Amino acid sequence: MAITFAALREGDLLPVQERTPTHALVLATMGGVFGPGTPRQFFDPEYARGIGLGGTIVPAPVKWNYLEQYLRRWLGGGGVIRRLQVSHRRPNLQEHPMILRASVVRKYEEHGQRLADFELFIDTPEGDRAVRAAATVAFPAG
Amino acid sequence: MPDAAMTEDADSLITPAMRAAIGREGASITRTIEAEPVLRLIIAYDEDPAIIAAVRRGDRSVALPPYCLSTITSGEGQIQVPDLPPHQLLAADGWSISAPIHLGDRLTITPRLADIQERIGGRVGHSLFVHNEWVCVNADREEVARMLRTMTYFPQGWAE
Repeated sequence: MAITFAALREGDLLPVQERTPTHALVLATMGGVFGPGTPRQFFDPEYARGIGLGGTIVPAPVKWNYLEQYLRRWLGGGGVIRRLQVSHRRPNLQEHPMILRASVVRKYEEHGQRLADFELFIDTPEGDRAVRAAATVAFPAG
Repeated sequence: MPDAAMTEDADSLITPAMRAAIGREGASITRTIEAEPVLRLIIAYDEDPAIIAAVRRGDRSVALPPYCLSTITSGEGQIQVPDLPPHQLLAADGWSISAPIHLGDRLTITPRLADIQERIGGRVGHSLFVHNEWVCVNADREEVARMLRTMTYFPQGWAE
């Protein structure tokens, strides 16, 4: 069901979602090949452990893609994401769940546009914050 | 955006050469959004079956998920900044989306060094935040999207 601007409330929480980025998904995100310029921590478990990461980690674009999809699916076509800015706090491991959360921070009108700001997070299964993000969504005029 | 104090004093890590590089643009590249890489990506992300079906039949009218922009750029041509400290971390990245994208869209992408900021304190100590952006315009020269990436550069490794 499409989310409408009228129904949106500041402080609304989106349903928590769990996604597990597989190695295959990481490979697809990197263009189907780990080329010469690909950092080894994305595909070489021994190297990743050697630099203290605990295993191969999830590249930043995967996290952005997941958050964009999470918010877009929740909007259900009711609004269009205009901006999604992601701040990286700590790594997530491949094949480990990532917990996605979001809330409505502000709804407002600006230059004749109906807009809403969202705060989004990715947490590790242990509860550590891996990503903090901010999005702006534009809604159609009522 | 850094949340600690910014500095511009005699101990600044920002050199005149760095300052001169701010605002510099790199060479533009023009690429077309093609079905095959888009399909591989949206299947991997378990996208809406209607979108997958539309891409399979080459439908150029359906709006693609914005992350499909990553099939034509992943930040190539980043402006080289002189004198940067040796260690680096990705601090932030994101997209601003001005218009939907479709199969067959031909976009021209231009890298630009947007800004350099300095920060004292924080996780990695005295550091520089280098803000890069890639502006994507369509065949009518209208901006479709802008990719942003902030890298942190710092003189000392975490464990040093």
